[in-house]
Amino acid sequence: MAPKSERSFSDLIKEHGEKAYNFAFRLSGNEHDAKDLAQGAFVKAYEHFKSYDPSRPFDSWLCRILHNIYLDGVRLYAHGHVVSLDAPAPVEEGDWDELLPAHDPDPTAGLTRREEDELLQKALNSVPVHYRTAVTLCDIEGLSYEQISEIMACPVGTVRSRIHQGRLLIRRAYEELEKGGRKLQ
Amino acid sequence: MSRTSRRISGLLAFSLSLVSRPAFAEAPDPQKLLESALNPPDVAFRGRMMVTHWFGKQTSAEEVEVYHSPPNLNRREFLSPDGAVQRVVVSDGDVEEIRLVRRQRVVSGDAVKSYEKIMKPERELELLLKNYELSVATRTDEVAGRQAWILELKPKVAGKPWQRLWVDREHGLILENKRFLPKRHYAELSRYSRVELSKNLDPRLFELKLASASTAGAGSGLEPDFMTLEELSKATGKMVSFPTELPSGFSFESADYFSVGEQTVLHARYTDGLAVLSLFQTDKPVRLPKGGTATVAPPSTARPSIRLAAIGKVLNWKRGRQYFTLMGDVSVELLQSVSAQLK
Amino acid sequence: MKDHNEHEDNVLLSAYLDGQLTEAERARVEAQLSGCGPCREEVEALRYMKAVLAAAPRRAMPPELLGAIEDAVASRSWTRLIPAALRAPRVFVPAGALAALALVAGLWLGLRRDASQDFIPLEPLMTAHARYTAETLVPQGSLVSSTYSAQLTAQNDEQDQQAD
Repeated sequence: MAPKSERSFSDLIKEHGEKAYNFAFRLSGNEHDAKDLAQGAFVKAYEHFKSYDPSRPFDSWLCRILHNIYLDGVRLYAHGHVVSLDAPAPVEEGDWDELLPAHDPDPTAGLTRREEDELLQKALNSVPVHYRTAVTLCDIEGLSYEQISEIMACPVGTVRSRIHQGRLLIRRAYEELEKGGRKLQ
Repeated sequence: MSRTSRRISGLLAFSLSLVSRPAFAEAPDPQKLLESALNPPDVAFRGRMMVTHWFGKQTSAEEVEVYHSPPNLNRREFLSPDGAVQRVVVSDGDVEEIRLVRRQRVVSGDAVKSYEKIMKPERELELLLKNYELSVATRTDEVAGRQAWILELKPKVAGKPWQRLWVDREHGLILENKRFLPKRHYAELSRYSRVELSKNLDPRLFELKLASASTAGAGSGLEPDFMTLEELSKATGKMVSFPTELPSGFSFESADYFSVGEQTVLHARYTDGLAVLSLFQTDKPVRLPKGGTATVAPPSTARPSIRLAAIGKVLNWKRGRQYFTLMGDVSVELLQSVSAQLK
Repeated sequence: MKDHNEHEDNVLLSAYLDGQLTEAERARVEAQLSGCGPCREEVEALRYMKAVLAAAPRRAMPPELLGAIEDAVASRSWTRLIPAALRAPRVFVPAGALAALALVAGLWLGLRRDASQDFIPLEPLMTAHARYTAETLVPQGSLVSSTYSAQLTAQNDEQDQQAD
C-alpha cells in the first residue's frame, strides 16, 4: 500500500528530505552518494509504506531504511580498504592518555568553518561505520538512544557503547587531522 | 598448432567512427558521447582512483595511481592500505606487463585491445544499442573537480548489470564508472578523487621491463586468441557444439582454448555489447568452491573476494561426456535460462 | 582507589553527558568523577567532541534532489505494473554473489558422482574470463585491471603455496 496520495508522500519528502540528506551525507561522506542514498531511502519507504507504523516517528523509520541501504550495498563510502560488518570493531586498548592526547581549549581557532567541517567529515569517515552512524544520529541529528537503537536495530546498551567509543575514536582522528599528523586510511 | 593472433597495432583495431570532443554546450547525443569515451583520453594525466568491488555485505577496495600518456601508454599502481605499491600494470598498447611486487615477479603478455577480435567493433556497438538503452543526464556532474556528462547504459532485459559512466566534458576521460547489479546494488565502482592534466610525464614510468621478466605469460591467460568455431575445432581436434546465439541478446564473439595441467579447456565468449558470458567445455568436471563460500571468500582476507565479485556467477552441468561451465556477471535466473537452452 | 583504566563505568561517561542514565547509574558516575581526575578530563574531551559535532553545519538539500526523489517515487507507482518476474531476483539481497554461488553449488551435485576423477580448478577459467572481459567494447578500465591483476596475483600465490 502506498501512501494515500502522491501529494501526501510529497509532503513527507519535503519535511524529512533535509534530515535524510544530512544523515546520508555524514554516512557516505560525499554529496554524490548522499543523493543516491536519500533517493533510495524515499523510494523504498514509498514502496513499503504499508509496513510503516504511523504511531512512530517517520524520520526514524526513514533513517532506518537509509541505514540499511547503506549497509546492504554500499559498504565502503569511508576511505577504508576492506570493510566487513562481521569484522570485529577496532576498539583501542591503549592508555587513555594515548587515546586522548592533550587538547588546546580551542584547537580549531584559525580554521574556517568549511575547513573545520571537512576535517570533521574526514574524522567521521575514518571510523568504522557503526560508530559513525551512532555518533551522527546522536550528536548531529539529535536523536534519542531509543530512536538510534531502532534505526540501528540493536539494544540501547550497544548504542551507548558505540556512541562512547565512537566519540573517542572520532576525537582522536580529529586531533590527528588537525595536527596534520599521519594520514588516516 | 598455430595460434595466430590477429594482432594489429593498438588503436587501429578500433575502427569506430571516432568523434572529436567538443565542449558540449548541451547534453550530447548519447551514442556520440559513448564513442568519445571509448577512445583513450587525448591528454596526458596522472590521477588517483578508488576501485571498489562489492558483494553482499563485503567490500574490497583499493586505490590506484593512474598515469596516462597519449596515445596509449598506461601505468596503474595498485596500492595497499598503507600506501605501498602492490602491483603495477604497465601497458604500451601492445604489450602489457603486470609486476607482482611482493612476489618480485613480472608477468607479461599482450595488451588489452591489441587484438582484432572476431567481432567487429561496429557489430559490437550495434549489439550494445540493441540490448541497452543509452541516455545522458541533462546536467553535468563534478568528479575530481572536473565537469562530466553522465551516460547511462540500461539493459533492456532483466538480470543484467547496468552501467553509468561519468565522461569528462573536455577530454572524454571516464572519471567515474559505476556498475550496478540488477537491483541497483553496486557491483563495482571506480572513481577518480584527483586528476592532474600534465604535459610531461616521465617516460620512464611507462618503460617495460621485458628483458628482466622472470615469468612469461604462458598459461596465465594473458595471451588470448580469437578464433572462429571452425578454427577451434581444427586446432583442438575436438567436436565443438557452441551455438552462435544465446538467449537475452548474447552473440558468439570468439573462441579460445588453453591447458590446465593435462586438460584442454575450450572457451567460447559471448557478448551483448556490454556484458560478457564465458562458456567453457572440458572433459573433466570443474571444481566449484565447496558450499559456495569456504574457499571463495574467507571473511578475514580481502583478496579472494575480489575474484568472485568481478566474475559474477558460475553454473555448471554435464551433457553427454562433456562438462560445461558458464560464467558471467548476470543474475542466476539469466544464467539458468541460458544454460537451459544449451542442455 | 581504583586506577582510571580500571573503572568499569567509563562506557557510561558519554551516556552521562547525554542525560541517558538511570538515577543509580548517574550517582555511580558522579562518585567516580569526584574521585578521578582522568575521568573528569575524559568527560571534558567527550563534551568537547559532542559540541563540535553538534555545531557541524547542516547541508541544505540540493535543489535538484527533491525533484529527483519525486520523479523516482512517481516512476515507482508506474513500475508496480511491471510483472514481478522482471524485477531483480531475491538472491542478490542477502549476500550477493556468495548466496548465488551457494545456490549454484546445488547444481553441482549431479557431478559429485565423479568425485573420484580429477577436477579442473576454477581459477584459470576465471582468469580467462576476466581477461576477456578486458576486451569488451565499453572499457571497464581500472575495474578490469584491478580484478584481473589481483586474480593473477592470487593464482601466483596459490601456485607458490602448492610448490612450497
